Amino acid sequence: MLVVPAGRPVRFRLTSRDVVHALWIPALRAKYDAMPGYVNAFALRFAPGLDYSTARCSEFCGDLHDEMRLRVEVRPPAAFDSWLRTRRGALVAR
Amino acid sequence: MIAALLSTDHKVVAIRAGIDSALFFVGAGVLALLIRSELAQAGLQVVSRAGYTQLFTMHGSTMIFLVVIPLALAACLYLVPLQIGTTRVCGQRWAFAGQWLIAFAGVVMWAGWLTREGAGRAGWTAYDPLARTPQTPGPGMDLWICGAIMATLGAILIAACVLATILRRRVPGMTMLRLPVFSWTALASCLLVVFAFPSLVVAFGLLLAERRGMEILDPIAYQHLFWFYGHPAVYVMFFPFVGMVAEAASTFSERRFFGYRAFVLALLGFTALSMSASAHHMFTTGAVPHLRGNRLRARPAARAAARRRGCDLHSGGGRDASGRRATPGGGGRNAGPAAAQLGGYARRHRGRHARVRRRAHRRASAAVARQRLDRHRRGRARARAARAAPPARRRRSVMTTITADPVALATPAAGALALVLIARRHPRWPARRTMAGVGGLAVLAVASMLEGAAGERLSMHMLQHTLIGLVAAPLLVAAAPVRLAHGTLSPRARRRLARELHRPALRAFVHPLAGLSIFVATLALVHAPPFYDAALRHPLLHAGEHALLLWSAIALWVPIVGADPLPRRAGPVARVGVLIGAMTAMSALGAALAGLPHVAYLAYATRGGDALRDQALAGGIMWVGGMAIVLPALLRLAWSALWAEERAQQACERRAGVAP
Repeated sequence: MLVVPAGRPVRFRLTSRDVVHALWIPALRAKYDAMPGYVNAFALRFAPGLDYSTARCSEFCGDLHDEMRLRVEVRPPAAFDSWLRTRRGALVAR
Repeated sequence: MIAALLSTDHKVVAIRAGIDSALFFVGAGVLALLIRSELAQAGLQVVSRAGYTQLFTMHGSTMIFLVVIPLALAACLYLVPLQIGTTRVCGQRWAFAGQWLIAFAGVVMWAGWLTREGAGRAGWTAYDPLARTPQTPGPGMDLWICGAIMATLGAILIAACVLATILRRRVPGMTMLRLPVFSWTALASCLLVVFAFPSLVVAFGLLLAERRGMEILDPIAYQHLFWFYGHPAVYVMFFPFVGMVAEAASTFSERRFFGYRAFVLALLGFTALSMSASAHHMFTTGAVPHLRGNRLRARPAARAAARRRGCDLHSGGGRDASGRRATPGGGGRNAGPAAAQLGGYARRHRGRHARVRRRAHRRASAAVARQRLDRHRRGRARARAARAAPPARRRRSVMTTITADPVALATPAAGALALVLIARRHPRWPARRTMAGVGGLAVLAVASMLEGAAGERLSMHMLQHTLIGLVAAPLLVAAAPVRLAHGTLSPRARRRLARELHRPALRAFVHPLAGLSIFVATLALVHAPPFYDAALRHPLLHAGEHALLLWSAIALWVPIVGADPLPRRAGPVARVGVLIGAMTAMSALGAALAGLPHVAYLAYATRGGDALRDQALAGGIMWVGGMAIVLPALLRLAWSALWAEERAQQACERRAGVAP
């Protein structure tokens, strides 16, 4: 699951631990490969109100390729910031 | 019966190849029906996950390697000799061998169904880490790779035979520009097969070695090799059928084929472009230059870890038809791509020291989180400050680094003046040659003005080198300086010049193969990191580097342009071959530089700015820019050779009084 702020650029550093996968978010027309041994760096801006439910892996990666879906949750910036604070607080507290 | 199986007659061989294709077509059709029945309802009803993967892999690769490509080549083998007026093809045993190789390739590929793990199941692309043994175990996958290699070798044999037949066995009077349309499409396809298909043989050969435990391949390198084959392969499956439609339409409408020459030129253009456009299959990797601006960096540690882990991605949770695990033990090792890693992680962290490690990990991650928070706050403060006062541009633009060194500018100017004055002494010297020479010298002057920018950025340096080698050099060669000197010198000097020109060393220098080897060797030397860095440190070595580039490019272009007198004029095929060779070398080097995940040259790594992005741009300039110059040259060369042949034939017919 990917939680992102709406409208702000989000930087990705995409890599893989096993075989070549690809991050595909059709709503953003974004498709980037995740390759073992490489980091694919890029930035995306998630507009609110788009249908992100089709985001998934788009490079055949084995028998379970069809199950490799990605949930994207776009939150308004303020809500994202408060979510981030609680997450970070939890991490620091631990 | 035996005679029909062993005949080397091109029609019989082609029919055999067609029958093979039809048989495999039926097989692939059965697989397709299985796929469709599985897809009739959501969820798994007919086959297992592993079975489904095998179904679509085998269906796709059967259609590509064993049905469509062999069928296209079989049609070429059957029809082309009939269309160009010969009964025997060149190297008919090659075609024979090719046909049987493809037939056996199918048997080998399909034998995978008999193995316990099943047939090939890594998709028709068989991407690098997925097609390795740990990820896709079993001899079925090896058989699949062997079958694909055999089918590709068979295709190369048949295509070479058709290609040679078109070039050598046309009936007298049938020039290339009078070939029927289908024969032209066959020629284009066979060119693609002969030039691009070996790349797949190499890629799959390396894959086989990798499956035997050798660590040679890299995901990006594999994709380059694969797509250099994969993109032209689409046109091999397309051109001959277009040719058939064109012939049928023009025959049954009883009209001449409209736009024949444009069609031929388009075919040649497609042939050249499709062998250079493979990179767009790799835009998502970030390893090739493109406009989305994602960047690729190496992560050696992760790569090593991935190798060590090497989990089977095919047996994860998958059960075969009888409900057993597809691979013994495999399912236990992982239950899916993501769970696989978590499983491996947890296993490694179990044990006596796990608790200690976990505590340390927690402490470390808390520290990291705090650091990140700090960095975040600092970043926002910086952003606020930036909004208040926009900073000066961080990098100097190219325009401010353009330098005008008087000596570097005066030399080409003096050369241009001398060239114009000497050309005036020649009784009839074509103005276009003078203009080519002056243009070449002007480009050299422009290149010298990029010197400052070249010291700052690799991309500008690459642009400078491209200007020197691919623009200035051919223009200077097209100015025909030796011919000009010969026409304007005194008789004594002319004799001395002739003596010098006949020296063996010079005769060897202007041989096409020598030019190509000198050019490629210079490319390799100049771009070797130690040499490049040294050249950037020492101005004298740098000047020598540029002189070397210029002269090696001149050696490349002299036999291709052919403006100056040569001991032996190279034929059009040799000239096209040399140009393709040079282009391949530049493309490979450019692609390597564009996809390199670290900065190759120390000098640029320390210049600041985003050296890696600049390096990718430099690779792009060499790759795409080099191609943008060489491709038109290639097409022009081919076209003028075709026209020369046609004109000679027309003159011959006029003399014989049979001209239309």
